Amino acid sequence: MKKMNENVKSVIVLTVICLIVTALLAVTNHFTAPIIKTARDEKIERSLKTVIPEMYSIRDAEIPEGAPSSVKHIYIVNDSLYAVVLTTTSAYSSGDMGITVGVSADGKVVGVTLTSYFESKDFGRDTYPKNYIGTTLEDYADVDTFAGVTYSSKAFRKAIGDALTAVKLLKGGDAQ
Amino acid sequence: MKKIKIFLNGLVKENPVLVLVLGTCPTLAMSVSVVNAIAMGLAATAVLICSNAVISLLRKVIPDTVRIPCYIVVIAGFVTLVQMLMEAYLPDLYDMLGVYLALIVVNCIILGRAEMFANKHNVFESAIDGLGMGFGFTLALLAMATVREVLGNASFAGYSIGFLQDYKIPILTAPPGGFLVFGCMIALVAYLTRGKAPLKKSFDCEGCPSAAFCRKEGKTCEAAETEVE
Repeated sequence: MKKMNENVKSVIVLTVICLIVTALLAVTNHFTAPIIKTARDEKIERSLKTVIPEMYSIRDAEIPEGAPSSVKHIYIVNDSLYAVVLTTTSAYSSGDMGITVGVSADGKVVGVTLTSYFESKDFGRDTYPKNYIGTTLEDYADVDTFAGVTYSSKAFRKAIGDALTAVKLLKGGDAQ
Repeated sequence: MKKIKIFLNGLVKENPVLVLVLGTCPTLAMSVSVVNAIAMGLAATAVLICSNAVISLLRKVIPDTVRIPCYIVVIAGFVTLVQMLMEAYLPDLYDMLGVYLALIVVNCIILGRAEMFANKHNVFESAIDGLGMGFGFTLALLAMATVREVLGNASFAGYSIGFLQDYKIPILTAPPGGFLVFGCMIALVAYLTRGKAPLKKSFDCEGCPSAAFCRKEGKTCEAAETEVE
């Protein structure tokens, strides 16, 4: 009986602690979430300017049916270019990998930037993304992965493929 | 006086990184630059103070059988809190610390101090221990980062040091350089604190954080050791 009481007490204490911690985090999230969202939106805006520097007009495009789930937004820039915002993850990633890809009307990658990734400090900020400039849906997979960050670069490559697929679908093509 | 002793313990005599050799992973990863080191040190200090204080406050309520899950929940809660605040108000620093910020949850210094100190002392003393250990961690990181950044990258806190530009030792900014500097620092502290660092018996069965629990269960340290074997 004493043992059972101890077990019940343990469960109650652990549950109460979990509930209090959750409540504390919920309150913090209530105050910080809008600030974090604004900062993320600004980051995406900056990334659009990075992939397509000469941007004079931008409008939202509807994500086409059948587009990969990693595609979060598609923008039509200067009426002829596409900027695809993706959120993907690598096998080991503790958080999302945010990527923005600029695609030309003829389906070529014109710019790539990594907006967030916590697994490696340097990956994506080096010259690796430039390897994809000029690639198309047919040949993007030929770009090698990066030694030392194999899973990250595989996820990165997949994101490029997803962006090209989404643009092709948006233009009414068949992704296959 | 006792409070000052508790605080100073963490700085040199029981420095968590250079004497107790805890928290090696973030130390090696974050000591590449001075800014990273200070940010990581302060984030860990904030978590240490809060988790030590809360765990000490709850020490009579938490049953022994679930104490580790309870500590982890408390620590993870504070780390997530720091993460949210940092992402909202210090986004550049948040990006800089990356995955290592979340990894504070499993930093042995924090769980170690909860087990070794906070669950045996009052709230104020535990908070001071957290402050001392946090500052000790920050100082160790700062010392290592200074050596690595100045000699390896010819810069300090991102500011270039002109006359060192031609004498960089790039390996110091790479992982092997981290181990090298870490080893030299431990040797230096061991030399300076000869006879003052914790005696070896602190690390034997009696010094084990679970010793009190074993005794409560009616086991001697030796019996528990045999059981494990």
